[in-house]
Amino acid sequence: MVGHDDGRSFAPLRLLAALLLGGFVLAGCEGEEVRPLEPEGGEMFTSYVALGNSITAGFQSGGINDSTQQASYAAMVADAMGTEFDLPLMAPPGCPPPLVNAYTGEVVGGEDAPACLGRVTPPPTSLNNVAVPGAAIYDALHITGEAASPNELTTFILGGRTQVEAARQADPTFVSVALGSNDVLDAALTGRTGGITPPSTFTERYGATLDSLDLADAEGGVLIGVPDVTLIPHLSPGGAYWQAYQQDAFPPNFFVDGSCAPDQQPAPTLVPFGYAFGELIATAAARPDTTTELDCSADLEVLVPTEIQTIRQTVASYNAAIQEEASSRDWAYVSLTPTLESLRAEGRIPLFPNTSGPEAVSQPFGELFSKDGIHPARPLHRMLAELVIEAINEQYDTSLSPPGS
Amino acid sequence: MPPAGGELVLSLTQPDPTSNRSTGRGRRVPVALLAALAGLLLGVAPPLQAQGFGIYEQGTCVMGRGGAAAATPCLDGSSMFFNPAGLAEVDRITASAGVTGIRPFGSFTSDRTGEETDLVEKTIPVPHGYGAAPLGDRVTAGLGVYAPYGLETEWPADGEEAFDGRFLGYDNSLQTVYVQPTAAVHLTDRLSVGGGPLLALGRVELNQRLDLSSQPVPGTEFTFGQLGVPFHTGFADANLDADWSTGFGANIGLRYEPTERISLGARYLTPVEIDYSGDATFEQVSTGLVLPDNNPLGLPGGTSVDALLQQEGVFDEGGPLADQGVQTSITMPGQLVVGAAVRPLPRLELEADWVYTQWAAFDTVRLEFGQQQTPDDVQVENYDDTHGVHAGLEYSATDRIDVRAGYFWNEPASPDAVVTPLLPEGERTQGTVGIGWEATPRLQFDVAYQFLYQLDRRGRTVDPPEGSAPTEDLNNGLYSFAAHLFAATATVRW
Repeated sequence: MVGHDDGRSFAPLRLLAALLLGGFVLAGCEGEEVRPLEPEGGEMFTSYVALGNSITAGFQSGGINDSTQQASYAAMVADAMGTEFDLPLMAPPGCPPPLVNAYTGEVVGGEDAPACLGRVTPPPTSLNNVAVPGAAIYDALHITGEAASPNELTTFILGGRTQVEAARQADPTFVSVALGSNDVLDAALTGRTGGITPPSTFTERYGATLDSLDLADAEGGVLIGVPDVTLIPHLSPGGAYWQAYQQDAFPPNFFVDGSCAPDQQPAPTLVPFGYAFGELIATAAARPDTTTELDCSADLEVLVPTEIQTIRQTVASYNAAIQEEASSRDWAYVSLTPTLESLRAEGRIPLFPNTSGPEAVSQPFGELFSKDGIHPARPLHRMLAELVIEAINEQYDTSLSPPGS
Repeated sequence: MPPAGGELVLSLTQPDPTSNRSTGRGRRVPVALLAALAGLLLGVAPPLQAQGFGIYEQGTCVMGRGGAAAATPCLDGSSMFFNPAGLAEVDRITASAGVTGIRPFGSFTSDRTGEETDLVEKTIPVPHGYGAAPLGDRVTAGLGVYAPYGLETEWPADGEEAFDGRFLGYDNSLQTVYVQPTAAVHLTDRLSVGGGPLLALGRVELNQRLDLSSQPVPGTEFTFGQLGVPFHTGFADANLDADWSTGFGANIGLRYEPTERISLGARYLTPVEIDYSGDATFEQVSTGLVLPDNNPLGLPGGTSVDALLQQEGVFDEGGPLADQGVQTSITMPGQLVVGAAVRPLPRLELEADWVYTQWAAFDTVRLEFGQQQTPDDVQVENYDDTHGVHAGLEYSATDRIDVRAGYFWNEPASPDAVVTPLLPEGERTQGTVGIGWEATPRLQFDVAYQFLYQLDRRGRTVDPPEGSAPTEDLNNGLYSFAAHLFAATATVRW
């Protein structure tokens, strides 16, 4: 068409064509038009791609499905941007199906629920949320090798690519990166700090990840710091167990050693729910003829003050590196930790899980966390989305509205 | 396209244009009259005409006057296509041969990325040839060879510029040649009829990238898409090549001159069904995908998806993508043309044709593969019959030079849901100019140029989900298309 001829035709021909049909073309008869994606938030958000781990992916209550995925902060941020955001939706009931009851282990879909039905089909034509539950920083660029920690969801979500490869294929104009939690979380959940990714290694891997992501030539981005994982309600102070024990809240054959009492420690210890309830109390309930005991001074799973300190210092080092990367790129930076600290101080993150009444089923870890006590529930995702949006607005002088406003 | 027990896709493609030549006597015409004619022609053009993969440029003389020739033939034998009754006007042994060069250019602009992918530019030659001889005072017989249907579209399939629509087809061609013995007779001094059977020869070649995400994972109930393989992950190239196949039809016409200054004409070209038989070959294309550790298939991390496909024998003999035979059938639409011509001045002739093309015959394309494990593929086209208007003029500038101009307009044959890389057609308007030069009493040369302008049209680069009908909602960008056409014909008369 004359209007689209970019000079590939000979000039005399173009003149002749214009003479023949010029009136028609000049009359504005150009037909239909491209319908470019015009995000309400601005052109910079035409293609928003989120990298991360379980939180970004929308993992909740020990599982993930198409409902939980759409409740992630990343989806809320995309909504605020007014941009399309295609997800690797997992077919219900999930992969694995999320918990319905944290204490009985009942999951969505019931006892006969399949462990995983894979992705919803057909797949989206593009993928905006490339986050994978369980991904550590090394996994952003690797899906095989000794240091990699892929799981089945790595395949289901990325289909044989790395997160960065998948992100680049989506031609991002704006990215968010929320990686690093899994480099320390395992230590918090198992009490074994030996598996923590050293800060220097983390810094190197994080830089390499962003350098590779830079090849996508995104216009902007936001880096989300690693939250202080010791603040999650999955970890309760040893003293809270001691108090519950004093109030006969446990089976009679489960004991809490005096080492857990608040006055026995120079600083609080932290007991993982998965250890106390998932192993000790579950065993006691299943075998009334035996006794089990929580010992805060001897059990390796219990986080002692030095270990807690190690984790917090590591997180701080990670975040210093992340912040440095953000400022070197003029990208926004967000930290969730101050919010978690405030919520904990306000009592909105319970020190001890609800073990009785309807809340034991509906909100065992309060309103902000899902039924695994680790991953945020929708209200906390909303808070995180608000923080991200605020940081973006401040960095890029945009005016994205908080979700739901 | 086809695959491993999954979906198969296929199709056809693309563009075309029009015209040929005539007699014309007359005198100089005031510019104002030309302008008035142009205005009249523009006004006449209501949304109508033949399109799809039709090619109306079967003679340079007629092309110069916008393809209007049903009522007034050019004397180069091309009336065998435009209106066989017009062949009765050929009163000397005549042979003509020529070619129309079609140089299309176009692009697809993605809604999502705003990126524009250009058609691969090339010039496509479409030849024509006619031979005729009078048999007495009232009868003329001849043989015409022309190509009324065809298309060729090529989009980049590899590299940075690879076109997303390659999964619907990226290098496709359809060639159809009609061989038509023709006889025309003057029933009276003013009325003539003509016609002849035709043998259609057709070949088709389709190339398509196959999408792994829609294929079943061998030994499982999953598709690769459910396993996470991204949409539009190419894993094989399918080439379907059907050599020359045949079909039969006829072309008949009627021409009447109520006065010396007015003539009327009509002709009908029957639909022709061609059953193609050919070969389907499949070539593996690297996906670049590697299975992670702890993958749900239980295979070692690092296993390449390409190796997995090879290991499962997808491309081996007996496998779903083994080289095999393929059959399909395409109906070349019928055309009904009615035209009128008037000679307001001795040296000026004005003509107009209405063309009705039965594109509704092009409703589906079914590919039937030789192997059972390769499922048939059905591509829904759902074309609509179309109307078109051609109008032109011919002015005898001197006794040996005719100048011509024309304009015509076509409505699209493809519905909004079926505008694809195979044939991204739309409403078209075209302008033509041409010159005829009688070099000697026995030798004539005609040349013409035509510019085809197609209104930008929204279309898609993706197929509907398996089992679903295509809808307009799938349209994900804008197709732009235009073409330059050049034609030249040499005519010898004895």
